[in-house]
Formats: sequence, structure tokens, C-alpha cells
Amino acid sequence: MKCSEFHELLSGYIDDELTARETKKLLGHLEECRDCTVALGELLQQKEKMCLLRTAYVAAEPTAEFSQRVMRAIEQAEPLREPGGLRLIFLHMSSWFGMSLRRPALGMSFLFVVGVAIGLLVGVTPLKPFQENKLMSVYELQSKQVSEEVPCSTEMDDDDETIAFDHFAYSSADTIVNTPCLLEYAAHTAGADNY
Amino acid sequence: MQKSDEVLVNETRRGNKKSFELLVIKYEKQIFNLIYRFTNDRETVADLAQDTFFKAYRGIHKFKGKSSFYTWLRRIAINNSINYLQSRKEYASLEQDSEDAEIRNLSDSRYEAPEESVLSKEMSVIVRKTLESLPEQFRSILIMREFEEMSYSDIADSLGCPVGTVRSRLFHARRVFKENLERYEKERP
Ligand SMILES: [Zn+2]
Repeated sequence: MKCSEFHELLSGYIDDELTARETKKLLGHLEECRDCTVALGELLQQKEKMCLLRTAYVAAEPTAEFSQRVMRAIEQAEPLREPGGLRLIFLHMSSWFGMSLRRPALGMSFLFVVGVAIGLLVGVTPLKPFQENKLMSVYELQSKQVSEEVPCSTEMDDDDETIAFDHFAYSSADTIVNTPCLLEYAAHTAGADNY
Repeated sequence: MQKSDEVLVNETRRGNKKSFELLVIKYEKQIFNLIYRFTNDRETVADLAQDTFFKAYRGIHKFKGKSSFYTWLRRIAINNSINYLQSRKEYASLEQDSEDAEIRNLSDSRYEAPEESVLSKEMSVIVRKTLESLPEQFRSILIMREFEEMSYSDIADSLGCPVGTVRSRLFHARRVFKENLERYEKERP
């Protein structure tokens, strides 16, 4: 093994993230290699500098009203009324929604149709914000390949899909646009073919 | 007696918003610091933090208690921060902006260098400048490891990559950090 390969082990060593075998191998090498011993010293110094910086690198304190602000945002996003029939329509459409997202062209037209439907049902014209914001968000998220580890997506199983679409079904157009989990779900579904 | 996170999470799931607010109050400061270290942008910290808690609330039924609530919340905050950085198109090109950001932030009166540490004020400016100069991927992973003290497996979870990738990326990040630090130390007047 060359010194350069040991250097990666050094980095793991100072983080205490090596296996017992790797540690033994590294310590054996350090006994006979001056360069790697120096490199270890430098790494430790560097780590110390970073850790000292930590205490200085702090944000301004949250204001006393911050938690109220969060709660207000949550209140505002919550469904205001029972959607009744609207819910059923969307639950029927939900499987198609998932499928169509795997085919962007179909997905676009689907979202357009959904936008029109919501517009008619709630009596507003949501097409502009809905189409632009939502599509942008979905495709932005998709292009970023939102990690499968995003908590909203990772811990999502079949039951959760239903719940995600419950959100969808219960939501006004604005809420759908502003519901991160639904958007993440959409991106997650859309990105499935890429993995 | 203070309720545990587990109790508060369960109460939130059952619709008790007050319990969720207690979780917000408990972790807001940590989340603010975390987001600030990632974004280096004081103006957006509160917005990103709000969005983090908002997502946590909306996704609370997806938190299965496999990790601590804070670990789960932190993952949302990290994702939010990284997505924000990407949207600013700063991924891998922080270097160009860092001069401005550095002047802006370091002249900020709220920025205090650690007084009692071995790190002089001048040195902490250089270390910070070095950190800001790193490509986003390297900077993020160093922040997760050195500031948030996350284990390799937690980092791997957050980034959605194998633990081996975390180890090698940290190694490369430290190498680039060292090179840049030496460069900035030489430039010191
Ligand atoms: Zn060696």
C-alpha cells in the first residue's frame, strides 16, 4: 500500500471511523513512515482550527416570535374545509398522477388538467401560479435528484403514498403548490426511472 | 417536568400543535446555526429555518423514530440548505463570491472571533475564508463533520451516498482545505 492510500485512512482515523483492521494497518505504517506521521499531525492541527472556528460561526439568535411565525405558517397551510367530492376525484386521479410523472410530457398535460379542474372547483384561476410554480418546483427537484434520503421521501412506504395524496386531495391549489412533501413525492416518483 | 421529544412528537401526530411549538422552541437555535454555517447568509436563515420546521410538521407521520427527532430534523435542514445553495447556483463556484461574502460577513459586528482560544482573530478570519472558498460539496461535508459532529453514517444518510464516499470526500475536502489555507496564510499581509 502506498502512502497516498494511507492518507485517506488518516482522515478516517482522526474521525474515529476506521475498522479495527484498518486502524491496526495504519498504526503499523505510522511506526515506520515519517511522512505519514507528519501528515497526521497536520490533519489534527487543521481539525483543531476548524473546531475553534465553530464557536465563532454562529447565526443571530432566533427572535422570540420565531416559533409563533412557524406555527402561523402551519395554520395557514392547513386545509380550511372538508373537500368531500373533490377528494374522491383526486384519489382516483392520484395513480394516474404518479404514472404520468414518469413521462414528463404526459405529466405536463396532467398538471394542466388538474390546474383547470381546481380552478373550476374553487372558482379561481390558479393556472398561472399552479402551472409555473408547481411544474418548476417538480422539475427543479427532479433535476436536483433530491436524495432518496430526504426524510419526507425515505420513510415513505405504500401507506404514506396514500397519506401524501390525502394531503393532495384535501388541499387548495395554493397548498398543493406549497406542500413540500407532495412536491418531494412527485419528484421522488418522477425520478424513480432515473435510479 | 420536561416532556421527551418522543412524547411531543406523538402529541403532535395526534394534532396537538402546542407540542410541536415546544419542539420548535427547543431546536430553533441549533437549526439556525446549522443553516447559517451552510449558507453563510444571515438574511435567509430564518426563512429556511421556518421552512425546515414546516416540512417537519407536515411530514411528522413519516418520522418513524428510527433516529432521534433532532437527527431527522437536521436532515431536513441540511437538505433545505443544500437545495438553497444549489438554487443560488453556487454549487462549486463559491470561490468567486467568497471575497464579497467574506468582507460582508467579517465586518459584521455580530461576528466575533473566539477570544479565549488559541486561534487569533486574524487566524479565524483566514480559516473561515478558507472554508468559504471550498467547492460546495467539500464545504458541506466539513461542516457536517466538524461543526455538527455527525458520524459518517449520518452524513451518508443525509447525502444519500455510501459511507465509503463520505470517507473519501472528507479526505479530499481536507486536502483542498489545507492547500487553500496555506495559500491564504501566505497572502497574509
Ligand atoms: Zn506513509
